[in-house]
Amino acid sequence: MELMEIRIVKRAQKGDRLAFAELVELYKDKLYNLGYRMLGNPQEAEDIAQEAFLRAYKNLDKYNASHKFSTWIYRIATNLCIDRMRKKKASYSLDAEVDGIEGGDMYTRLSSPDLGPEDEVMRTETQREVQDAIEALPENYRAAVILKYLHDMSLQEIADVLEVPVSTVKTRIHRGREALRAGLRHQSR
Amino acid sequence: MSTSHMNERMHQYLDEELTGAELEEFESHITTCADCQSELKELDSAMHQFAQTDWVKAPAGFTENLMEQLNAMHPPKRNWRVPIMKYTGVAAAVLLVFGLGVSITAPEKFALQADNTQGLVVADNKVIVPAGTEYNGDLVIQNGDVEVRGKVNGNVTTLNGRVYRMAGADISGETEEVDQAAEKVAYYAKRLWHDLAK
Repeated sequence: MELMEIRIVKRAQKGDRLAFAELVELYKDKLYNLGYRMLGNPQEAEDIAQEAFLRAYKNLDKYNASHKFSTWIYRIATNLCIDRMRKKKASYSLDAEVDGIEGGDMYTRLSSPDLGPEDEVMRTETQREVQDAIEALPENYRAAVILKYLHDMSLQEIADVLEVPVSTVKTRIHRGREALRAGLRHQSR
Repeated sequence: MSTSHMNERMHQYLDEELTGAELEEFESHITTCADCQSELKELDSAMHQFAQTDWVKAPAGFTENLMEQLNAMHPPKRNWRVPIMKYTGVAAAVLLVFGLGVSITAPEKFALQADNTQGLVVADNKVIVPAGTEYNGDLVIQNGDVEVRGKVNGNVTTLNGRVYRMAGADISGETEEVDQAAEKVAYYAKRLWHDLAK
């Protein structure tokens, strides 16, 4: 699997578009899922995944095969998500000053009123509570927890993706776990 | 949210970082301390729920849309490698068929192609341009030699034969000896090209 991927990446680096399309096929669900959990809605998840791939394509020559390709592409997507979350937070707090917070929480604000089929996933109460709990986490904790529990990454891999020491990843996961525990507490009884 | 005295240990336990005596100590503590027990249960259950969330997938047509966008943003560069590879096969096939055709049609016996035979001596699979004579035009000899003693105002070509320049020989055009089958094909191709160009 790894070897096959290395070969596909090499072909893509030589300008083979079909090889790049293969990489997109391999990673589209992963990046989409990451975006979905980080940002909380399908439209932004698609935007982020698309942007991540376009950026990866543009910088393909800078990818160095001594690292895992998955780490590299996850790093691009994670950084884009964190950037967008920060921008959103900034514009949200600006809005909040104008029209108050009565309109609803972050979640109701972000989802469009006409729910598409993708929103079906959010329909069940538990799913929604979990997503709310995730979205209550600061972006750094959110990324670490999502990568560990939803993308099955090791602490070392997460450290590589986020470009921080493993000890920092541990702290973020510990805090993320505590926050999720608080958010989902009533469920555990 | 309550955090117990064992909170740090608990996370280490969840990260599977406790071993040996530490692990034993922690596990025996959990069985006796109700606070820690419920805290661990809450954490475990929260993370379990979290990990159970649906694995949402990219919408249908994601890759196609992306590649379309990519082609619009960065129009594909002409990649010569692929067409060359494709046409090499075609060229090889054409050459093979053509070569077969040539080897079938090419006469194996002595033949002289000339604009005129005036002044030429033909003997024993050999063409002689006698000394002191002047020949105007091209000479092509198949399966035979040519001996030039006089003057030729044109090209001299032999297929499977030699061109002998004797003393006093003067050939204004090119002299060529074509021996190999491959060269023969090339020669015919060249001639065909020449004819087509005319």
